[in-house]
Amino acid sequence: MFDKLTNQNKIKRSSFFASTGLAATGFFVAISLPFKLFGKNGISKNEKVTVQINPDAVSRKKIGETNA
Amino acid sequence: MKNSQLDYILRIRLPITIFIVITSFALTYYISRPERDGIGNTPEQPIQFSHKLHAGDMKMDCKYCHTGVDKTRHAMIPAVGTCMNCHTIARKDRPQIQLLKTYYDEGKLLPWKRVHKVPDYAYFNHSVHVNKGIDCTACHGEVTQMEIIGQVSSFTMGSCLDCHKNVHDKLPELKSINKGPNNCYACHR
Amino acid sequence: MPETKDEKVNQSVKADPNYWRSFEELHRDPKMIEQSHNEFQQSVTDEFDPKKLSSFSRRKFLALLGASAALAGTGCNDYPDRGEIIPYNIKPDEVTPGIANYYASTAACEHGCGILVRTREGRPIKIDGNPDHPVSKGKVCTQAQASILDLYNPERLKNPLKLGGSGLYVEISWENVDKEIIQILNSRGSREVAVVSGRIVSPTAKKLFDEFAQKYNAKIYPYELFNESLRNRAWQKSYGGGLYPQIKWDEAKIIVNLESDFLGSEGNRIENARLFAQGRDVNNINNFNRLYVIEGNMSLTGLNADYRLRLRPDAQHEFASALLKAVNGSMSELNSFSKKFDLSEAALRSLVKDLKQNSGKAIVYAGSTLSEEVHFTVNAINEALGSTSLYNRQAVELYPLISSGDLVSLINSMNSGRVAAVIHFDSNPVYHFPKDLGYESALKKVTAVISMTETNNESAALSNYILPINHPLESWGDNKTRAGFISSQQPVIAPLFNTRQKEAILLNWVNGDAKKYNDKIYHEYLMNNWQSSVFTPVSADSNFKQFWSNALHDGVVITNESSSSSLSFNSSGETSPKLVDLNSFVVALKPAYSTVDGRYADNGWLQELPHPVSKITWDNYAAISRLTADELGVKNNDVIDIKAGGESFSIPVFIQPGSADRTITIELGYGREKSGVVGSGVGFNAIVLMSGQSGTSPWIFKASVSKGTGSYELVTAQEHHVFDDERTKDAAQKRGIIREGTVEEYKKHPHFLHKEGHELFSIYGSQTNMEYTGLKWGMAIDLNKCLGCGDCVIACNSENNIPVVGKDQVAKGREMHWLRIDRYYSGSENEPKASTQPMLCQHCDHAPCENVCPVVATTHSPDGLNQMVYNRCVGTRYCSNNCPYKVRRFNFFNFRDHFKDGYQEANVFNLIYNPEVTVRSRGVMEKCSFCIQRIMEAREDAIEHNRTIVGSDVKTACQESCPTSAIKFGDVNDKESEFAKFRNHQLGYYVLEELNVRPNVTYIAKLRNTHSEEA
Repeated sequence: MFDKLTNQNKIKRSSFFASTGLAATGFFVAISLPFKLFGKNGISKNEKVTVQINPDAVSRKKIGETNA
Repeated sequence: MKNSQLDYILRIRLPITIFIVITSFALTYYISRPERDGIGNTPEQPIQFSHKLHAGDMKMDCKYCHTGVDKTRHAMIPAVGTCMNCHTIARKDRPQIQLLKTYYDEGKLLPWKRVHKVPDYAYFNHSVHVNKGIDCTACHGEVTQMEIIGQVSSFTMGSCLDCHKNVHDKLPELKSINKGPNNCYACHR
Repeated sequence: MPETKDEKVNQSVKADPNYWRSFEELHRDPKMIEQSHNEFQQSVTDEFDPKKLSSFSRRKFLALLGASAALAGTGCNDYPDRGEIIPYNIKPDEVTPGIANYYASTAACEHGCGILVRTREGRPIKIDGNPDHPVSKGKVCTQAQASILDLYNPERLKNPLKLGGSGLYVEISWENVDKEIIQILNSRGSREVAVVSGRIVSPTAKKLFDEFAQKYNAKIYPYELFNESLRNRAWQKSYGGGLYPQIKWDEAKIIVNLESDFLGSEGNRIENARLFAQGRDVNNINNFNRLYVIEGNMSLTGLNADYRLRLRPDAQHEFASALLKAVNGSMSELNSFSKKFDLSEAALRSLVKDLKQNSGKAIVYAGSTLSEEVHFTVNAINEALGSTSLYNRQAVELYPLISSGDLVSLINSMNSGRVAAVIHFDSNPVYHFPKDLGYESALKKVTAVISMTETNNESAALSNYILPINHPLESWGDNKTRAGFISSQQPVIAPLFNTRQKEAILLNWVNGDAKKYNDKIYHEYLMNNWQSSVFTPVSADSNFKQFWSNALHDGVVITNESSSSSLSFNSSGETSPKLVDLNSFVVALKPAYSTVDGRYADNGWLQELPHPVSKITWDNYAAISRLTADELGVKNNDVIDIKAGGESFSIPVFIQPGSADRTITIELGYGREKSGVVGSGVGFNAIVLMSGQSGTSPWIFKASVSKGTGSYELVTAQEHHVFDDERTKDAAQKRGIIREGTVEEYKKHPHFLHKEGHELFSIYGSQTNMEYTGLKWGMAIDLNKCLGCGDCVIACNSENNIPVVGKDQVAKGREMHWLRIDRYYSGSENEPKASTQPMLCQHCDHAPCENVCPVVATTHSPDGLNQMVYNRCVGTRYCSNNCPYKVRRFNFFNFRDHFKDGYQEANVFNLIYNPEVTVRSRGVMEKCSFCIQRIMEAREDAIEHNRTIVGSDVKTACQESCPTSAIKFGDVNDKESEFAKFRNHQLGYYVLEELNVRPNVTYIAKLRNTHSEEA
């Protein structure tokens, strides 16, 4: 059966690899794009939040100390 | 004479295979060792701070800057304000100091490259070590001689346990110290 | 015989061709013979030219591919890089990274507990009770502890919003919105301004409200869905004035409780529980109190009763009248009552006997939902018994709540256009007001509806302006609910978003100029008010600043106010009871254990906290008895239709052992529609049934009930077929998981629990027992004091970064609570006895989980703890399989990512995590660690101060939060300690001890205080 290959056309290897590469890229893009576009609305993960102490508040280091 | 196949395998293939296996293990071991134990990690810092100058020549105490080391788990890098305690006046004409000043004035984050790091799942506690009398140099080496701070000791779990188990050999100057804990919960919560 | 192909060919050419493949072969064609010597047929390899092949062989190509991948891998990876370490620019003085700061504040709810907030690196991570506060004494309820989650709610409103023309809300700046609203208020003309708020408990806020009311002709309408108004009105009728007092539960020996869940959801339940538990001390057995509970549905208080009688709530007036007559000498009415309602005559006789014999130390207490008439009768009973010595007349009401008459007149005003603006002052009237009053449609007639709220809610959705406000942890304030002290509230963190404190917004409007706002106006207002009203009368210092700083530090200031004077009872208000029709259905509405009145619907921890009685999570339900269920033809999860006051409502059913017949008990505070991702659509909103009620109590009324269509899955954290299956009935008692006795039995035979002393069987003898010579941690849980309230569970969740998993996962048993409260029933379905038992990792000496881990991720420490190492665990789950207590929880998902599409992954949510505890990811097993992070903190502290650590240095999170102090923790080997008394107590036992796993959690057996030796 190997003799058939000489007569018929062989696959163009370059175009095979190019098309499978393109297919794989397209596959992953198509999967991820809808999530990015119509993604999780309302809960923005990357919003910046600053934490600041209120300087007028009075703290204590141990649990059970009073001034009384 | 016809060499049998077994002869070929034993004389040629086996030594070559063994050689390749041993070489690859050894190479990997030695090449990856800095990654595993961190020795030699000396990254370039945004400001060329020299411990040799400050801690060595000027004999500043480690605890002046690294204030948390006997109070809490973290040793702490000093706030930029601590540097400015002296450097609002000291050498304020030097370019590195001026760079420092811009960080302070603009409130920009000063991104020191981290040198010593233990993974997050190990909760290392500085204060229990320091309060037992262990000197900073025992793990961090001769920092007072380092222009650029780098890591000189191994920070793998094995090295930690090695010292914990053999305290009296590693730290003979501490007379009344016990062996360190070697149970999981001491570090891994 | 194997022949090579060549031989075969040769053979076919040479030998006698019996077999031939072609004619050529047959005739031995010479061309064919020649061809057969070649490997390939002719012309196959004609085109093959080695020189034309690519110089790049397949082999080279693959080698190059592999090598370049490896190079790229190593090249792109900067593996020695350990990231950056960034210091402060200017270090705040208060903050030392690694050391916690505590701030005293108050939870600002109507019960007035003081809280202590633990902060790390400037942000709060845990709320506990303030030990210096006279009301909370170091303990605080589940809602206060869970409210920290609301601070970091990713769905908090971040900017003021104004309703735009297109029906959408647009962001507007504070200055503009203040200007517009001040304009609206100023141009009101002769119309009034209405402010709808919750109960007002802050004296400074009250002062502000008075100023606001004066300036803008405003009326304040404080409204609470559940309140004490019926009780207080009855009190005023009985005694002329004042408010219902606090009860000294610790001094009461006999407590008769009528439909009052005083340990679970009524009043200041933390204080009630703490005082009540002082009378359940096994080391003071002669002063054990006795609790009689007569209620319509099993409540938390009912779980802990010594005697419990089922009675439909609308019959309580009949009962109270009969009891009054019995206490005054005549038992006949009570006897006929017990026959009519099928109650145990013996129990009622002992009840009356106990009340009479313990006069001065006995109290009858009626629930807040009962009618005024019942309360009046109960006051009369207490007068007759001399229980007035148990009254502690401290209550202070700063601003009375509105009556239903006020509410109706408000809505009339709104409908006739006499209201210029309605301000929802952190309230949600669209959800809370009874639907038939038509508040929602009346709102449409008001030109300016302003909602001040933290998150979106039903009322905000119908507003013109939505103003985001500070969480109580970001707010200044004060709190006065009792005479004798005043609590202070301070912000433990600056506002995370562009929000303002609600009182500050109002103050700004009072001041009248939008531009003059600054962050400190309410702070200064508060300080001024304290200086004039608190400081001047009280202090010895002459320095207000010092006084103020001390007040904030302590969280409370003791003022010298005396309680009110003597009482004289006016018995003329006694009415005779309306007799109950036994064939009718009665609906009883209760506050939810978790969400209270719905305000905590968006709080994942509270929604997932199992209901203390039914262990149902994430929904409410109609609790009915087995008989009623059979009558209606429903099973668990079937839906029933309830018709009351002209409204109709459907809800699934749960058959609750101990529920009275024809009594439907439903918790309010569910069915929110506009709450947020977590809370919307959870449960069923039964507030609709409160419409059109004109009876004696808005929460107890008649209804008609029928079977509905369909069913709804209720998810419970425990099984609910306890009484059905003979095999599992009383399993807990048979297997020794629950061991109980009675007070009488214990008094006579103190060693009754261990009379069959047994040696634990071990085939290896004592050689394998590891000797723990040093400190060994152990825990003891006193089941006499454990009420089953769940404070410990929420505290553990808060301390240990436990994720919320959601209803679908709880249905599979995957809730991640390290500590759970098991509730067991025994007895009969109608008269069940309930036992609660907190179950956590027992840290067994011979732990069955440790042997089977294939990667040795769980080991035993020399101080007695079973260690769980997350980074080593690969998720085999063999350990959980072996655990007899099933306390190991597996992360089947990264629940932070899985629950509600990663709601828990928002940046602001991550601020809540305790930095000392690992946040676990998928595939890792976790369990209670006896708060190893607290043990390590105590060790660190001991080393820093050069002393040895002792058992009492460490308080676990659950121990710290238990209001009755049922959980004890300490060093097993310290024979002198308090803890050792419980470890070696004669009532102490271990669960499933016979498995020889040697658990380290001792349970002190529950003693029921009945009249006989049998339970």
